[in-house]
Amino acid sequence: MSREEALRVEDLKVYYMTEKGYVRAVDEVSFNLSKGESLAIVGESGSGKSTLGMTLIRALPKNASIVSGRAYIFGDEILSISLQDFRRKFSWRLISMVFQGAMNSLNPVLKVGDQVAEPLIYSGGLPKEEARRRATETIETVGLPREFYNRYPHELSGGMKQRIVIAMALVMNPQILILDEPTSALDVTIQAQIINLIKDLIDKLGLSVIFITHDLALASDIADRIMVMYGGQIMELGSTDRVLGEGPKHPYTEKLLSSIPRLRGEGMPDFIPGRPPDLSSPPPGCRFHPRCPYVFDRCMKEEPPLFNINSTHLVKCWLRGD
Amino acid sequence: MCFFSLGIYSRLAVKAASLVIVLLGVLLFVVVIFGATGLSDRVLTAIVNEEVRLYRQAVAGQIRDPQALEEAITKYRDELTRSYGLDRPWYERLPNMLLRVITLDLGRARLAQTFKGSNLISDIIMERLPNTVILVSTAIAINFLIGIFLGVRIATRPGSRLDRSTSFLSAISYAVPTWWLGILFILIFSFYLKLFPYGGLYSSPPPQDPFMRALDVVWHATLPVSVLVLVNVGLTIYVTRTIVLNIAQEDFVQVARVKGLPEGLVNRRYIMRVAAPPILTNVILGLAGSIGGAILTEAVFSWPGMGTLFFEAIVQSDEALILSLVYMFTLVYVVARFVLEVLYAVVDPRVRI
Amino acid sequence: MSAGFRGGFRIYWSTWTGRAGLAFLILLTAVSIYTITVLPVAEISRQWNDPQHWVDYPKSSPPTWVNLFSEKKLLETTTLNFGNTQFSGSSKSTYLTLNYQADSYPSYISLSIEKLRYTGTPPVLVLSIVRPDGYSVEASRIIVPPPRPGENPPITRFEQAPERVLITSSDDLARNLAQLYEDRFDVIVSPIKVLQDGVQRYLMSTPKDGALTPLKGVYRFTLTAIQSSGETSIENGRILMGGEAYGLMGTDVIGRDLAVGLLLGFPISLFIGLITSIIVTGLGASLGLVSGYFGGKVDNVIQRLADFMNNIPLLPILIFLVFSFGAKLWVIILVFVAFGWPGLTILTRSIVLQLRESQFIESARAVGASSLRIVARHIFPHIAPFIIAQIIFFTPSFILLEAALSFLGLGDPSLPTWGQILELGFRSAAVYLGYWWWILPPGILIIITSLTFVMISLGLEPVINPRVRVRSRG
Repeated sequence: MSREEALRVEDLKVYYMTEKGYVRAVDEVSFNLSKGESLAIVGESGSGKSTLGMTLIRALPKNASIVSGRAYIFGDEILSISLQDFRRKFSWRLISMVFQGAMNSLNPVLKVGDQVAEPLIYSGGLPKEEARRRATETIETVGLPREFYNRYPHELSGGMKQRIVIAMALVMNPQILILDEPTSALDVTIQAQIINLIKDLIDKLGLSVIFITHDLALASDIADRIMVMYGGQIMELGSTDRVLGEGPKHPYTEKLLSSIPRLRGEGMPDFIPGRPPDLSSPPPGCRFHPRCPYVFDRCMKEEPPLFNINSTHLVKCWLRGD
Repeated sequence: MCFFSLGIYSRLAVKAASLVIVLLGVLLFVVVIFGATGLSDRVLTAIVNEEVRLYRQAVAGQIRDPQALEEAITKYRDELTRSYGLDRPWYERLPNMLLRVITLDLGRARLAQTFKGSNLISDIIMERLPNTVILVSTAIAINFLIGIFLGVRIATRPGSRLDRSTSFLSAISYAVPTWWLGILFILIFSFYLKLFPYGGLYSSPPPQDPFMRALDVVWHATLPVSVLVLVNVGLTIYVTRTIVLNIAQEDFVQVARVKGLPEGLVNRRYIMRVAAPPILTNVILGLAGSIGGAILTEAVFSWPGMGTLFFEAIVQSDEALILSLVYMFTLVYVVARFVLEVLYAVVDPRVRI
Repeated sequence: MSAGFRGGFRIYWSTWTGRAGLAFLILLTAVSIYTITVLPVAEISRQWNDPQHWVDYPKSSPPTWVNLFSEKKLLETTTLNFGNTQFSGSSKSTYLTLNYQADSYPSYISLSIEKLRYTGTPPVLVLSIVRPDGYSVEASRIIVPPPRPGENPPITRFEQAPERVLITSSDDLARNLAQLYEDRFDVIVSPIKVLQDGVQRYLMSTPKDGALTPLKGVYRFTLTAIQSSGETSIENGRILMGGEAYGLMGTDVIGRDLAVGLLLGFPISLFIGLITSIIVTGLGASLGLVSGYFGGKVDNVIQRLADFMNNIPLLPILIFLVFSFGAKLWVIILVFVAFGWPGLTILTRSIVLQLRESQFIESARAVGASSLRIVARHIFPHIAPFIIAQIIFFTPSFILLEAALSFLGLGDPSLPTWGQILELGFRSAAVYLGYWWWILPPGILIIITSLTFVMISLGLEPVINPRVRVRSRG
């Protein structure tokens, strides 16, 4: 890796406390992200991909706790510092996020422009006029006319709202951007527009991007690397060319891939037999084994490690090593 | 979204028109009931009889001949009967009757009077209405202050003991009749503790000094206002708490925090600002529903307002007064709803298109 | 409702409001059933609406159990019965004695004679009282009416209603007592003052240092029939010393036993609350079902109407209608129904609209099920639990509305309700006189009854509305 490392995550475990006990939403996840690189995290709902995003922006719900692990942004650890410190130094300045469901990310009674400008004033300390000017610029950057500053969320269409939410995330010029299902509620043509916008922004601003999606096709369109998650764990991690171009090395990825023609935005590939695992009592051995077509004895007893197929391609499956 | 293309003014105009229709509808309904049950005939006959009696007194001195007197009186009575439309059935009289009710020209009350002795219903209502407005608006203001303050505080600690007991208390207050609480308060605070007067607006005689007079009103208003607040505040607290709690869990609140906005700003702009319109609607609708409670509370505390007047009208079987009061209550209610609509347009940009 | 009835009940039972509500409901129902059995409709009019029944009860008296809590003991009502008595031969009198030991005076003393029969000349009944100090006064005389033309002996009098003489307001007794005080104690007091202060005070006291002190001991009441010829008999005669305390719940201003009124309130308020609620819910839900499922013009009309009704202040209109049509039970219920349905209709409609778009309805429609069948087999079972919850939820509001109307004097006068008891109490100034036993129990019963349904509602909420149950995230 010649390029500078923007983000590194080491051995991250995030558990939810529920009535039924611990839910291991994210379990022993490690990966890194280079400057200017885009990484897609792909998985079904409940795979832990959203929790992972929320952890990195320190926005976990109250009943979730980071059990172990570290995350570094340009070499600085961000999980052990206080929330105030994180929000003062990192949040929105270095790392920001486009949350799932754009309409819910916007305050319905505030002008969208003000919502974009707010961090510049209250966190960046800019005077109001300056903040307003910068916010207007950002709104133009995401392809909306400047007059949209004075609009209210209900006056915008779904695609426009998504653009505003992206502008909101970009206003402090962050280095890393997490996008959580940015296109899931949009119809297909708008989806394509948003994806193109994101691609443009990555090129123009040199952003490092984490793109969270359940849609492998979408991921392949945008990402340099793909990380497939299942049951809170990484199943496969490698460059898009390797994972998709040479054919997936993990049975789960294989299943996801073969479901692509049927996928249209919403929903999960419903013909993978069985359900996502109950993470409060995950199955022994490999977490995917109850649904795996190639399952054999060892899968049920022993959890496979992430096998290194080559320096940039990891697979967590007994078929790929011993 | 059917109003999408309409501006705020035309939207409000549509609302106003529909409320006017409601008002006219109620009026029509009341008048039909009034006529169909024969109440109207009885009221008018009573008025005619009274005027004939006065006429007889007036002319008795001038016309000596008993037969001529009776003739004159009969003629006068026929004239009156015709002019009031008593010679026609009520449904022919109806248009005229509607017009009279709308202009509040309902004649005179049987027994009720203004302080100065006028028994014109419009005079009486104009005298009583301010008293009701003072009582109810004070109660609403206090209810708002306490309810929203406590509701927001409790919303920060959902599931706490305070939270649970408030929810339960607001359920109990739903089961307590306002008027009975009023009686209970009189028994405790007036009869046993002798802290507050039994009822009324002023002591008798009222103090001359304006400041003392105001204090006297406050002293008299304490119990009725407390009753109105106590009965309604539980619901206000509960509604506020639930709305604030729901909004605090919205994504945009979390996003605002992640954006690095200070907590105070998040609370003000992202929670309270968003919670204001639904709280306003819920509370005001609830309070509009408490008009009934206000009628009864006034009656219990002999507060000389519209409610007590209504109570008196029932006790005295004064049909004309009852009719005009029903009309006035509907008018007040409809106006209140329109004010709410305007207020709503001011606080909520979603309405302000 | 995949949880089924058992599962639903378990969830219901796990809330303490649910348990308390059910316990109260059972209690209320039991009292109502007891009341209906003990006091059938005919008995209601006798015990509550017939003045004869409570004429002898003390007026505005607290319940007797207050004596347990206070130093000064209030006199309880005492009845002395002469029983079936023959006035014949040489002894034409009979007497009763009373050992009087209370610190206070009776509120009144009355003599009543039931079914007097005589032969010969019409008798005069004389009641005289011998005090513990041996002094005797004549208290009252009852002159029995002579035979009417054509009437043959034995003549019966006081048959329909007993002859009742309030001897404590008797001028004769007042005069005799004034005389007695002058003769024996050298105290000059005018008969008018005796009447004003209360005849019983003079009858049952001795003057000491210018004040009257209760004279305790044995009083002897002698009833004599004075007759020049013939015989007289009475079926019963009794002397009633009105106490200052009565029964379990006290009495109201005209002497009615409040316990009876309060008991009668149970079945009536349950009936009004439940019946109205059932009809309102049935009507509201059906209109909502029709409106939501069929849509179109019907929907439009129903929704306009509901919207219209929602913009009307309820209580003034209700008062006006009950006033116009007359305060009868069915009018009150009808008016509640006419104005109660809109809220539920709007709610049901929105639920049905959601259901209509759901997959299982779509599939039922796809296989060609008729609208009626879909509504009956698919939609109705889905909203049935919700409807039952609404019945419970609406019940207290109708109980409270009826109480409010009663309090304004618009209750059905033939049926005593708690609201009406309070109305009479308020109008007789009970609250200004501190008659707490008249004010507190009816109000508390109204609250308990309403609260019962509120608590059941709270208990039902997690059963009907599973969203309330704690969510866990995966």
